[in-house]
Amino acid sequence: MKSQTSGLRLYLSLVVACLRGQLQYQASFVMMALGQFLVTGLEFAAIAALFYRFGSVHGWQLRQVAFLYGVVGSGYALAEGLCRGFDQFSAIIRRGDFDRLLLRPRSTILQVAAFEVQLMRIGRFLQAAFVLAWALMHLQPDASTLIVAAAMVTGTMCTFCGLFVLQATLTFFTIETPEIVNVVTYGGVETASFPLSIYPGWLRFTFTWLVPLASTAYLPARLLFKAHGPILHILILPGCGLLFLLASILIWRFGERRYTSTGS
Amino acid sequence: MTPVSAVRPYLTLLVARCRQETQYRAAALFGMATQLFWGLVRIAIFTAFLKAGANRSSMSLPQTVTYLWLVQGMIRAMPWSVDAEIRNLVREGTVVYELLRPIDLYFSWYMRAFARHAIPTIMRAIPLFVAAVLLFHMQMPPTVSAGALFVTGVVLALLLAAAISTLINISLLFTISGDGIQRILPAIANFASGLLIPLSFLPSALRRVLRILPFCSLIDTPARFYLGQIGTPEAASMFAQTLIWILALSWFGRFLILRASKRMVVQGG
Repeated sequence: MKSQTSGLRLYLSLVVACLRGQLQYQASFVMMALGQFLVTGLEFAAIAALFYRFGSVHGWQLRQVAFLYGVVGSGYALAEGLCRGFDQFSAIIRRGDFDRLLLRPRSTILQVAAFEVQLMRIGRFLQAAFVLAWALMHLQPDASTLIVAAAMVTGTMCTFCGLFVLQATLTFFTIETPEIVNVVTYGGVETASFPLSIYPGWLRFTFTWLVPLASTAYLPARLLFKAHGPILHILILPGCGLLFLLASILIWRFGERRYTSTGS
Repeated sequence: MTPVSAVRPYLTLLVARCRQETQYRAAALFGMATQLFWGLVRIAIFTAFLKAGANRSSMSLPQTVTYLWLVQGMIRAMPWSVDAEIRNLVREGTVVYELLRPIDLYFSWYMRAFARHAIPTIMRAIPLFVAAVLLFHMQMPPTVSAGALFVTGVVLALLLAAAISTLINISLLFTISGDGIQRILPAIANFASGLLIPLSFLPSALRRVLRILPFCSLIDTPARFYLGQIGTPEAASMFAQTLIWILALSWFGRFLILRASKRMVVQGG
Protein backbone atom coordinates (compact mmCIF):
# COMPACT_ATOMS: atom_id res chain seq x y z
CA MET A 1 0.00 0.00 0.00
CA LYS A 2 2.82 2.34 0.92
CA SER A 3 4.49 1.83 -2.44
CA GLN A 4 1.21 2.60 -4.18
CA THR A 5 0.74 5.98 -2.50
CA SER A 6 4.33 6.91 -3.25
CA GLY A 7 3.70 5.77 -6.83
CA LEU A 8 0.72 8.09 -7.06
CA ARG A 9 2.77 10.93 -5.60
CA LEU A 10 5.42 10.26 -8.24
CA TYR A 11 2.74 10.28 -10.94
CA LEU A 12 1.48 13.65 -9.72
CA SER A 13 4.93 15.20 -9.60
CA LEU A 14 5.68 13.92 -13.12
CA VAL A 15 2.38 15.37 -14.32
CA VAL A 16 3.14 18.72 -12.74
CA ALA A 17 6.60 18.79 -14.33
CA CYS A 18 5.07 17.96 -17.71
CA LEU A 19 2.45 20.70 -17.38
CA ARG A 20 5.00 23.29 -16.31
CA GLY A 21 7.08 22.40 -19.33
CA GLN A 22 4.15 22.96 -21.67
CA LEU A 23 3.24 26.27 -20.05
CA GLN A 24 6.66 27.59 -21.11
CA TYR A 25 5.22 27.82 -24.63
CA GLN A 26 2.18 29.90 -23.84
CA ALA A 27 1.24 31.06 -27.31
CA SER A 28 1.55 27.53 -28.63
CA PHE A 29 -0.57 26.17 -25.78
CA VAL A 30 -3.30 28.75 -26.27
CA MET A 31 -3.46 28.09 -30.01
CA MET A 32 -3.57 24.33 -29.56
CA ALA A 33 -6.26 24.49 -26.89
CA LEU A 34 -8.27 26.87 -29.08
CA GLY A 35 -7.82 24.54 -32.02
CA GLN A 36 -9.09 21.59 -29.98
CA PHE A 37 -12.05 23.68 -28.81
CA LEU A 38 -12.86 24.63 -32.37
CA VAL A 39 -12.58 21.09 -33.77
CA THR A 40 -15.08 19.59 -31.37
CA GLY A 41 -17.14 22.78 -31.18
CA LEU A 42 -17.83 22.57 -34.92
CA GLU A 43 -18.63 18.87 -34.54
CA PHE A 44 -21.30 19.81 -32.05
CA ALA A 45 -22.52 22.57 -34.37
CA ALA A 46 -23.12 19.88 -37.00
CA ILE A 47 -25.17 17.85 -34.51
CA ALA A 48 -27.16 20.95 -33.56
CA ALA A 49 -27.80 21.63 -37.26
CA LEU A 50 -29.25 18.13 -37.63
CA PHE A 51 -31.66 18.78 -34.75
CA TYR A 52 -32.50 22.20 -36.18
CA ARG A 53 -33.65 20.50 -39.36
CA PHE A 54 -35.11 17.22 -38.08
CA GLY A 55 -36.37 18.13 -34.60
CA SER A 56 -35.61 14.96 -32.66
CA VAL A 57 -34.14 11.51 -32.99
CA HIS A 58 -35.79 8.42 -31.48
CA GLY A 59 -37.63 10.69 -29.07
CA TRP A 60 -34.44 12.40 -27.89
CA GLN A 61 -34.28 16.20 -27.99
CA LEU A 62 -31.12 18.24 -28.64
CA ARG A 63 -30.61 18.95 -24.91
CA GLN A 64 -30.78 15.27 -24.05
CA VAL A 65 -28.31 14.28 -26.77
CA ALA A 66 -26.17 17.25 -25.67
CA PHE A 67 -26.08 15.69 -22.20
CA LEU A 68 -24.82 12.39 -23.65
CA TYR A 69 -22.35 14.22 -25.87
CA GLY A 70 -21.05 16.27 -22.91
CA VAL A 71 -20.58 13.21 -20.71
CA VAL A 72 -18.77 11.21 -23.39
CA GLY A 73 -16.73 14.16 -24.68
CA SER A 74 -15.49 15.30 -21.28
CA GLY A 75 -14.81 11.72 -20.14
CA TYR A 76 -12.81 11.10 -23.29
CA ALA A 77 -10.87 14.39 -23.00
CA LEU A 78 -9.94 13.56 -19.39
CA ALA A 79 -8.80 10.08 -20.37
CA GLU A 80 -6.79 11.42 -23.29
CA GLY A 81 -5.22 14.06 -21.08
CA LEU A 82 -4.29 11.62 -18.32
CA CYS A 83 -3.37 8.51 -20.35
CA ARG A 84 -1.85 9.93 -23.52
CA GLY A 85 1.29 7.85 -22.89
CA PHE A 86 -0.69 4.69 -23.65
CA ASP A 87 -1.95 6.21 -26.89
CA GLN A 88 1.66 6.79 -28.00
CA PHE A 89 2.91 3.55 -26.56
CA SER A 90 4.05 2.11 -29.90
CA ALA A 91 6.66 4.89 -30.11
CA ILE A 92 7.85 4.05 -26.57
CA ILE A 93 8.14 0.37 -27.51
CA ARG A 94 9.89 1.02 -30.82
CA ARG A 95 12.54 3.25 -29.28
CA GLY A 96 13.16 0.66 -26.58
CA ASP A 97 12.19 3.24 -23.95
CA PHE A 98 9.99 0.72 -22.20
CA ASP A 99 13.10 -1.14 -20.99
CA ARG A 100 14.07 1.92 -19.00
CA LEU A 101 10.64 2.06 -17.39
CA LEU A 102 10.97 -1.60 -16.39
CA LEU A 103 14.20 -0.87 -14.57
CA ARG A 104 12.57 1.61 -12.22
CA PRO A 105 11.03 0.30 -9.01
CA ARG A 106 7.62 1.84 -9.74
CA SER A 107 4.44 0.64 -11.44
CA THR A 108 4.83 0.74 -15.23
CA ILE A 109 1.17 1.75 -15.54
CA LEU A 110 1.77 5.01 -13.67
CA GLN A 111 5.02 5.69 -15.50
CA VAL A 112 3.45 5.24 -18.94
CA ALA A 113 0.42 7.29 -17.92
CA ALA A 114 2.71 10.12 -16.83
CA PHE A 115 4.84 9.85 -19.98
CA GLU A 116 3.03 12.73 -21.58
CA VAL A 117 0.15 14.74 -20.16
CA GLN A 118 -1.24 17.03 -22.82
CA LEU A 119 -2.49 20.28 -21.42
CA MET A 120 -4.04 21.27 -24.73
CA ARG A 121 -6.69 18.58 -24.16
CA ILE A 122 -8.23 21.16 -21.88
CA GLY A 123 -9.68 22.75 -25.02
CA ARG A 124 -11.67 19.66 -25.84
CA PHE A 125 -12.61 19.12 -22.20
CA LEU A 126 -13.91 22.68 -21.80
CA GLN A 127 -15.97 22.44 -24.97
CA ALA A 128 -17.61 19.20 -23.81
CA ALA A 129 -18.05 20.57 -20.29
CA PHE A 130 -19.82 23.68 -21.66
CA VAL A 131 -22.20 21.49 -23.64
CA LEU A 132 -22.78 19.33 -20.56
CA ALA A 133 -23.47 22.37 -18.37
CA TRP A 134 -25.88 23.78 -20.97
CA ALA A 135 -27.73 20.46 -21.11
CA LEU A 136 -27.83 20.17 -17.31
CA MET A 137 -29.29 23.66 -16.87
CA HIS A 138 -32.27 22.56 -18.89
CA LEU A 139 -32.78 19.47 -16.73
CA GLN A 140 -33.05 21.59 -13.57
CA PRO A 141 -30.68 19.33 -11.72
CA ASP A 142 -30.79 18.53 -8.03
CA ALA A 143 -27.82 17.29 -6.05
CA SER A 144 -28.36 13.64 -6.94
CA THR A 145 -28.54 14.42 -10.69
CA LEU A 146 -25.20 16.19 -10.44
CA ILE A 147 -23.70 13.22 -8.56
CA VAL A 148 -24.95 10.84 -11.25
CA ALA A 149 -23.58 13.11 -14.00
CA ALA A 150 -20.18 13.29 -12.29
CA ALA A 151 -20.18 9.49 -11.91
CA MET A 152 -21.04 9.12 -15.60
CA VAL A 153 -18.12 11.34 -16.63
CA THR A 154 -15.79 9.39 -14.32
CA GLY A 155 -17.05 6.03 -15.56
CA THR A 156 -16.65 7.11 -19.19
CA MET A 157 -13.15 8.38 -18.42
CA CYS A 158 -12.25 5.02 -16.84
CA THR A 159 -13.61 3.14 -19.86
CA PHE A 160 -11.50 5.17 -22.28
CA CYS A 161 -8.44 4.86 -20.01
CA GLY A 162 -9.05 1.09 -20.09
CA LEU A 163 -9.25 1.19 -23.90
CA PHE A 164 -5.95 3.09 -24.11
CA VAL A 165 -4.34 0.53 -21.77
CA LEU A 166 -5.67 -2.34 -23.92
CA GLN A 167 -4.48 -0.62 -27.09
CA ALA A 168 -1.01 -0.30 -25.56
CA THR A 169 -1.10 -3.94 -24.38
CA LEU A 170 -1.71 -4.95 -27.99
CA THR A 171 1.50 -3.11 -28.90
CA PHE A 172 3.52 -5.56 -26.75
CA PHE A 173 2.71 -8.12 -29.43
CA THR A 174 2.30 -6.04 -32.61
CA ILE A 175 4.83 -3.18 -32.03
CA GLU A 176 2.82 -0.89 -34.35
CA THR A 177 -0.65 0.22 -33.31
CA PRO A 178 -3.00 -0.65 -36.15
CA GLU A 179 -5.24 2.24 -37.26
CA ILE A 180 -8.24 -0.03 -36.79
CA VAL A 181 -7.91 0.36 -33.00
CA ASN A 182 -9.24 3.91 -33.43
CA VAL A 183 -12.55 2.31 -34.24
CA VAL A 184 -13.23 1.65 -30.55
CA THR A 185 -11.70 4.89 -29.21
CA TYR A 186 -12.71 7.66 -31.64
CA GLY A 187 -15.53 5.45 -32.86
CA GLY A 188 -16.66 4.98 -29.26
CA VAL A 189 -16.85 8.75 -28.75
CA GLU A 190 -18.91 9.18 -31.89
CA THR A 191 -21.19 6.21 -31.24
CA ALA A 192 -21.83 6.86 -27.54
CA SER A 193 -22.67 10.53 -28.17
CA PHE A 194 -26.02 9.44 -29.61
CA PRO A 195 -28.73 7.24 -28.06
CA LEU A 196 -27.61 3.65 -28.61
CA SER A 197 -31.07 2.62 -29.79
CA ILE A 198 -30.42 4.12 -33.25
CA TYR A 199 -27.67 1.61 -34.08
CA PRO A 200 -27.82 -1.86 -35.63
CA GLY A 201 -27.49 -4.80 -33.23
CA TRP A 202 -23.76 -5.52 -33.71
CA LEU A 203 -22.85 -1.94 -32.78
CA ARG A 204 -25.13 -1.96 -29.74
CA PHE A 205 -23.60 -5.27 -28.65
CA THR A 206 -20.02 -3.95 -29.06
CA PHE A 207 -20.58 -0.83 -27.01
CA THR A 208 -22.67 -2.55 -24.34
CA TRP A 209 -20.94 -5.86 -23.64
CA LEU A 210 -17.40 -5.49 -25.01
CA VAL A 211 -16.81 -1.81 -24.23
CA PRO A 212 -19.16 -0.70 -21.43
CA LEU A 213 -19.89 2.78 -22.81
CA ALA A 214 -23.62 2.04 -22.75
CA SER A 215 -23.59 1.61 -18.99
CA THR A 216 -21.52 4.75 -18.38
CA ALA A 217 -23.50 7.03 -20.72
CA TYR A 218 -26.62 5.90 -22.58
CA LEU A 219 -28.33 3.70 -19.98
CA PRO A 220 -27.95 6.02 -16.98
CA ALA A 221 -28.97 9.00 -19.15
CA ARG A 222 -32.15 7.21 -20.17
CA LEU A 223 -32.96 6.37 -16.58
CA LEU A 224 -32.19 9.94 -15.53
CA PHE A 225 -34.60 11.44 -18.05
CA LYS A 226 -37.39 9.07 -17.03
CA ALA A 227 -36.79 9.17 -13.29
CA HIS A 228 -39.40 10.54 -10.93
CA GLY A 229 -38.06 9.19 -7.66
CA PRO A 230 -34.68 8.73 -5.99
CA ILE A 231 -32.05 8.04 -8.62
CA LEU A 232 -28.84 7.28 -6.78
CA HIS A 233 -29.20 3.55 -7.51
CA ILE A 234 -28.24 4.48 -11.10
CA LEU A 235 -24.70 4.91 -9.82
CA ILE A 236 -24.12 1.16 -10.18
CA LEU A 237 -24.07 1.52 -13.97
CA PRO A 238 -21.11 3.91 -14.40
CA GLY A 239 -19.24 1.66 -11.94
CA CYS A 240 -18.81 -0.78 -14.86
CA GLY A 241 -16.29 1.68 -16.31
CA LEU A 242 -14.09 1.24 -13.27
CA LEU A 243 -14.35 -2.55 -13.51
CA PHE A 244 -13.39 -2.33 -17.17
CA LEU A 245 -10.30 -0.28 -16.29
CA LEU A 246 -9.29 -2.77 -13.57
CA ALA A 247 -9.71 -5.67 -16.01
CA SER A 248 -7.59 -3.81 -18.60
CA ILE A 249 -4.82 -3.35 -16.04
CA LEU A 250 -4.84 -7.10 -15.34
CA ILE A 251 -4.53 -7.80 -19.09
CA TRP A 252 -1.70 -5.24 -19.28
CA ARG A 253 0.20 -7.12 -16.55
CA PHE A 254 -0.27 -10.31 -18.55
CA GLY A 255 1.07 -8.65 -21.73
CA GLU A 256 3.95 -7.07 -19.89
CA ARG A 257 5.23 -10.47 -18.74
CA ARG A 258 5.46 -11.53 -22.37
CA TYR A 259 7.24 -8.40 -23.52
CA THR A 260 10.47 -8.79 -25.46
CA SER A 261 12.47 -5.66 -26.15
CA THR A 262 12.94 -4.24 -29.64
CA GLY A 263 16.08 -2.43 -28.49
CA SER A 264 19.59 -3.40 -29.42
CA MET B 1 14.87 26.20 -71.61
CA THR B 2 12.00 24.50 -73.38
CA PRO B 3 8.70 24.23 -71.49
CA VAL B 4 9.01 20.43 -71.36
CA SER B 5 12.42 20.42 -69.71
CA ALA B 6 11.22 23.07 -67.24
CA VAL B 7 8.38 20.87 -66.07
CA ARG B 8 10.29 17.60 -66.06
CA PRO B 9 11.90 17.79 -62.59
CA TYR B 10 8.50 18.37 -60.99
CA LEU B 11 6.94 15.49 -62.86
CA THR B 12 9.82 13.21 -61.84
CA LEU B 13 9.33 14.34 -58.25
CA LEU B 14 5.59 13.66 -58.48
CA VAL B 15 6.11 10.16 -59.86
CA ALA B 16 8.68 9.35 -57.19
CA ARG B 17 6.40 10.55 -54.35
CA CYS B 18 3.46 8.64 -55.83
CA ARG B 19 5.52 5.45 -55.96
CA GLN B 20 6.51 5.96 -52.36
CA GLU B 21 2.89 6.41 -51.31
CA THR B 22 1.81 3.19 -53.04
CA GLN B 23 4.11 1.27 -50.66
CA TYR B 24 1.58 1.60 -47.86
CA ARG B 25 -0.87 -0.96 -49.17
CA ALA B 26 -1.44 -2.78 -45.87
CA ALA B 27 -2.14 0.56 -44.19
CA ALA B 28 -4.64 1.32 -46.94
CA LEU B 29 -6.39 -1.98 -46.33
CA PHE B 30 -6.68 -1.39 -42.58
CA GLY B 31 -7.70 2.18 -43.33
CA MET B 32 -10.47 0.91 -45.55
CA ALA B 33 -11.79 -1.29 -42.74
CA THR B 34 -11.78 1.75 -40.43
CA GLN B 35 -13.62 3.79 -43.04
CA LEU B 36 -16.23 1.04 -43.46
CA PHE B 37 -16.90 1.12 -39.73
CA TRP B 38 -17.18 4.92 -39.68
CA GLY B 39 -19.44 4.86 -42.70
CA LEU B 40 -21.81 2.42 -41.01
CA VAL B 41 -21.92 4.48 -37.79
CA ARG B 42 -22.54 7.74 -39.66
CA ILE B 43 -25.22 6.07 -41.80
CA ALA B 44 -27.01 4.77 -38.67
CA ILE B 45 -27.01 8.29 -37.18
CA PHE B 46 -28.28 10.01 -40.31
CA THR B 47 -30.85 7.28 -40.99
CA ALA B 48 -32.31 7.82 -37.51
CA PHE B 49 -32.63 11.57 -38.17
CA LEU B 50 -34.08 11.13 -41.64
CA LYS B 51 -36.66 8.64 -40.42
CA ALA B 52 -37.71 11.17 -37.77
CA GLY B 53 -38.52 13.80 -40.40
CA ALA B 54 -38.15 12.58 -43.98
CA ASN B 55 -40.30 15.45 -45.26
CA ARG B 56 -37.79 17.96 -43.85
CA SER B 57 -34.83 16.40 -45.60
CA SER B 58 -33.18 17.93 -48.65
CA MET B 59 -31.96 14.51 -49.81
CA SER B 60 -33.61 11.10 -49.92
CA LEU B 61 -32.26 8.36 -47.64
CA PRO B 62 -30.45 6.46 -50.46
CA GLN B 63 -28.88 9.74 -51.61
CA THR B 64 -27.76 10.55 -48.07
CA VAL B 65 -26.27 7.08 -47.64
CA THR B 66 -24.38 7.50 -50.92
CA TYR B 67 -23.15 10.94 -49.83
CA LEU B 68 -21.86 9.49 -46.55
CA TRP B 69 -19.91 6.77 -48.41
CA LEU B 70 -18.43 9.41 -50.71
CA VAL B 71 -17.28 11.29 -47.60
CA GLN B 72 -15.54 8.17 -46.30
CA GLY B 73 -13.84 7.62 -49.65
CA MET B 74 -12.60 11.21 -49.88
CA ILE B 75 -11.32 11.45 -46.30
CA ARG B 76 -7.65 11.26 -47.28
CA ALA B 77 -8.14 14.28 -49.52
CA MET B 78 -8.76 16.41 -46.43
CA PRO B 79 -5.88 18.78 -45.59
CA TRP B 80 -5.61 17.57 -42.00
CA SER B 81 -1.97 17.55 -41.05
CA VAL B 82 1.42 18.93 -41.89
CA ASP B 83 3.86 16.72 -43.72
CA ALA B 84 5.97 15.25 -40.89
CA GLU B 85 9.05 15.21 -43.15
CA ILE B 86 8.74 18.91 -43.91
CA ARG B 87 8.22 19.66 -40.21
CA ASN B 88 11.50 17.88 -39.44
CA LEU B 89 13.26 19.74 -42.25
CA VAL B 90 12.18 23.04 -40.73
CA ARG B 91 12.92 22.04 -37.12
CA GLU B 92 16.36 20.68 -37.89
CA GLY B 93 17.29 23.47 -40.28
CA THR B 94 17.93 21.07 -43.17
CA VAL B 95 15.34 23.06 -45.09
CA VAL B 96 18.30 25.10 -46.41
CA TYR B 97 19.25 22.12 -48.58
CA GLU B 98 15.81 22.40 -50.15
CA LEU B 99 16.58 26.03 -50.97
CA LEU B 100 19.88 25.08 -52.58
CA ARG B 101 18.20 22.91 -55.19
CA PRO B 102 17.76 24.60 -58.56
CA ILE B 103 14.00 24.05 -58.56
CA ASP B 104 11.08 26.07 -57.32
CA LEU B 105 10.46 25.19 -53.68
CA TYR B 106 6.72 25.87 -53.90
CA PHE B 107 6.10 23.50 -56.77
CA SER B 108 8.29 20.76 -55.34
CA TRP B 109 6.32 20.91 -52.03
CA TYR B 110 3.07 21.11 -53.97
CA MET B 111 3.91 17.89 -55.82
CA ARG B 112 4.69 16.13 -52.53
CA ALA B 113 1.37 17.28 -51.10
CA PHE B 114 -0.52 16.22 -54.21
CA ALA B 115 0.95 12.70 -54.06
CA ARG B 116 0.24 12.53 -50.33
CA HIS B 117 -3.46 13.21 -50.95
CA ALA B 118 -4.06 11.59 -54.32
CA ILE B 119 -2.51 8.15 -53.87
CA PRO B 120 -4.04 7.24 -50.47
CA THR B 121 -7.40 8.57 -51.66
CA ILE B 122 -7.34 6.40 -54.77
CA MET B 123 -6.04 3.34 -52.92
CA ARG B 124 -8.78 3.56 -50.30
CA ALA B 125 -11.70 5.01 -52.21
CA ILE B 126 -11.90 2.48 -55.05
CA PRO B 127 -12.10 -0.72 -52.92
CA LEU B 128 -14.30 1.12 -50.41
CA PHE B 129 -16.78 2.20 -53.09
CA VAL B 130 -16.86 -1.32 -54.55
CA ALA B 131 -17.64 -2.79 -51.12
CA ALA B 132 -20.20 -0.05 -50.35
CA VAL B 133 -22.01 -0.45 -53.68
CA LEU B 134 -22.12 -4.24 -53.39
CA LEU B 135 -22.93 -4.56 -49.69
CA PHE B 136 -24.02 -1.29 -48.13
CA HIS B 137 -26.60 0.45 -50.35
CA MET B 138 -24.32 2.96 -52.06
CA GLN B 139 -25.86 4.05 -55.37
CA MET B 140 -24.09 4.37 -58.70
CA PRO B 141 -24.17 7.79 -60.38
CA PRO B 142 -27.54 8.17 -62.21
CA THR B 143 -25.98 9.11 -65.57
CA VAL B 144 -22.64 8.76 -67.31
CA SER B 145 -22.23 12.54 -67.37
CA ALA B 146 -22.79 12.69 -63.58
CA GLY B 147 -20.00 10.15 -63.19
CA ALA B 148 -17.71 12.15 -65.50
CA LEU B 149 -18.43 15.38 -63.59
CA PHE B 150 -17.67 13.54 -60.34
CA VAL B 151 -14.28 12.32 -61.58
CA THR B 152 -13.39 15.85 -62.73
CA GLY B 153 -14.58 17.19 -59.38
CA VAL B 154 -12.35 14.73 -57.52
CA VAL B 155 -9.29 15.72 -59.57
CA LEU B 156 -9.95 19.38 -58.76
CA ALA B 157 -10.55 18.48 -55.10
CA LEU B 158 -7.15 16.79 -54.93
CA LEU B 159 -5.44 19.77 -56.61
CA LEU B 160 -7.15 22.09 -54.12
CA ALA B 161 -6.30 19.87 -51.15
CA ALA B 162 -2.65 19.95 -52.21
CA ALA B 163 -2.75 23.76 -52.38
CA ILE B 164 -4.27 24.04 -48.87
CA SER B 165 -1.89 21.42 -47.46
CA THR B 166 1.10 23.21 -48.93
CA LEU B 167 -0.07 26.45 -47.31
CA ILE B 168 -0.21 24.64 -43.93
CA ASN B 169 3.30 23.28 -44.57
CA ILE B 170 4.54 26.76 -45.46
CA SER B 171 3.15 28.11 -42.18
CA LEU B 172 5.91 26.05 -40.52
CA LEU B 173 8.46 28.45 -41.98
CA PHE B 174 6.87 31.24 -39.96
CA THR B 175 5.92 29.49 -36.70
CA ILE B 176 8.26 26.44 -36.59
CA SER B 177 5.76 24.43 -34.52
CA GLY B 178 2.87 25.14 -36.87
CA ASP B 179 0.49 24.44 -34.00
CA GLY B 180 -2.04 27.17 -34.65
CA ILE B 181 -3.06 27.08 -38.28
CA GLN B 182 -2.37 23.36 -38.38
CA ARG B 183 -5.30 22.75 -36.07
CA ILE B 184 -7.66 25.59 -36.88
CA LEU B 185 -7.71 25.21 -40.66
CA PRO B 186 -8.63 21.48 -40.60
CA ALA B 187 -11.40 22.18 -38.07
CA ILE B 188 -12.96 24.71 -40.42
CA ALA B 189 -12.36 22.43 -43.41
CA ASN B 190 -14.20 19.54 -41.71
CA PHE B 191 -17.32 21.61 -41.25
CA ALA B 192 -17.21 23.65 -44.46
CA SER B 193 -16.42 20.72 -46.78
CA GLY B 194 -19.51 18.68 -45.91
CA LEU B 195 -17.49 16.06 -44.02
CA LEU B 196 -19.44 16.50 -40.78
CA ILE B 197 -22.83 17.16 -42.36
CA PRO B 198 -23.93 17.44 -45.99
CA LEU B 199 -24.07 21.17 -46.71
CA SER B 200 -27.62 20.90 -48.06
CA PHE B 201 -28.76 19.97 -44.52
CA LEU B 202 -27.54 23.31 -43.15
CA PRO B 203 -29.66 26.47 -42.90
CA SER B 204 -29.63 28.20 -46.29
CA ALA B 205 -27.87 31.42 -45.19
CA LEU B 206 -24.94 29.44 -43.76
CA ARG B 207 -24.91 27.15 -46.78
CA ARG B 208 -24.59 30.09 -49.18
CA VAL B 209 -21.53 31.38 -47.31
CA LEU B 210 -19.89 27.95 -47.19
CA ARG B 211 -20.40 27.42 -50.91
CA ILE B 212 -18.30 30.51 -51.64
CA LEU B 213 -15.38 29.24 -49.52
CA PRO B 214 -12.93 26.83 -51.16
CA PHE B 215 -13.59 23.91 -48.80
CA CYS B 216 -16.91 22.85 -50.33
CA SER B 217 -14.99 21.74 -53.44
CA LEU B 218 -13.22 19.07 -51.36
CA ILE B 219 -16.26 16.86 -50.72
CA ASP B 220 -19.64 18.53 -51.09
CA THR B 221 -19.32 19.63 -54.74
CA PRO B 222 -17.97 16.31 -56.09
CA ALA B 223 -20.64 14.48 -54.07
CA ARG B 224 -23.39 16.61 -55.62
CA PHE B 225 -21.97 15.85 -59.07
CA TYR B 226 -22.04 12.14 -58.24
CA LEU B 227 -25.67 12.31 -57.12
CA GLY B 228 -26.61 14.06 -60.37
CA GLN B 229 -27.88 17.15 -58.56
CA ILE B 230 -25.98 19.56 -60.82
CA GLY B 231 -26.36 20.04 -64.58
CA THR B 232 -23.40 20.60 -66.92
CA PRO B 233 -23.77 24.42 -67.33
CA GLU B 234 -23.89 24.97 -63.58
CA ALA B 235 -21.02 22.53 -63.15
CA ALA B 236 -18.84 24.64 -65.47
CA SER B 237 -19.18 27.68 -63.24
CA MET B 238 -18.41 25.56 -60.16
CA PHE B 239 -15.28 24.17 -61.82
CA ALA B 240 -14.27 27.74 -62.61
CA GLN B 241 -14.76 28.76 -58.97
CA THR B 242 -12.62 25.84 -57.76
CA LEU B 243 -9.92 26.62 -60.30
CA ILE B 244 -9.82 30.25 -59.18
CA TRP B 245 -9.36 29.10 -55.57
CA ILE B 246 -6.58 26.69 -56.56
CA LEU B 247 -4.76 29.42 -58.47
CA ALA B 248 -5.28 32.02 -55.73
CA LEU B 249 -4.10 29.74 -52.92
CA SER B 250 -1.10 28.57 -54.97
CA TRP B 251 -0.14 32.14 -55.78
CA PHE B 252 -0.45 33.07 -52.10
CA GLY B 253 1.61 30.05 -51.06
CA ARG B 254 4.33 30.88 -53.58
CA PHE B 255 4.34 34.51 -52.41
CA LEU B 256 4.75 33.38 -48.77
CA ILE B 257 7.52 30.92 -49.57
CA LEU B 258 9.50 33.55 -51.47
CA ARG B 259 9.12 35.97 -48.59
CA ALA B 260 10.06 33.34 -46.03
CA SER B 261 13.18 32.29 -47.93
CA LYS B 262 14.41 35.89 -47.89
CA ARG B 263 14.11 36.26 -44.12
CA MET B 264 14.72 32.70 -43.08
CA VAL B 265 16.76 32.12 -39.94
CA VAL B 266 18.15 28.63 -39.97
CA GLN B 267 17.98 26.72 -36.69
CA GLY B 268 20.74 24.51 -35.45
CA GLY B 269 24.50 24.54 -35.85
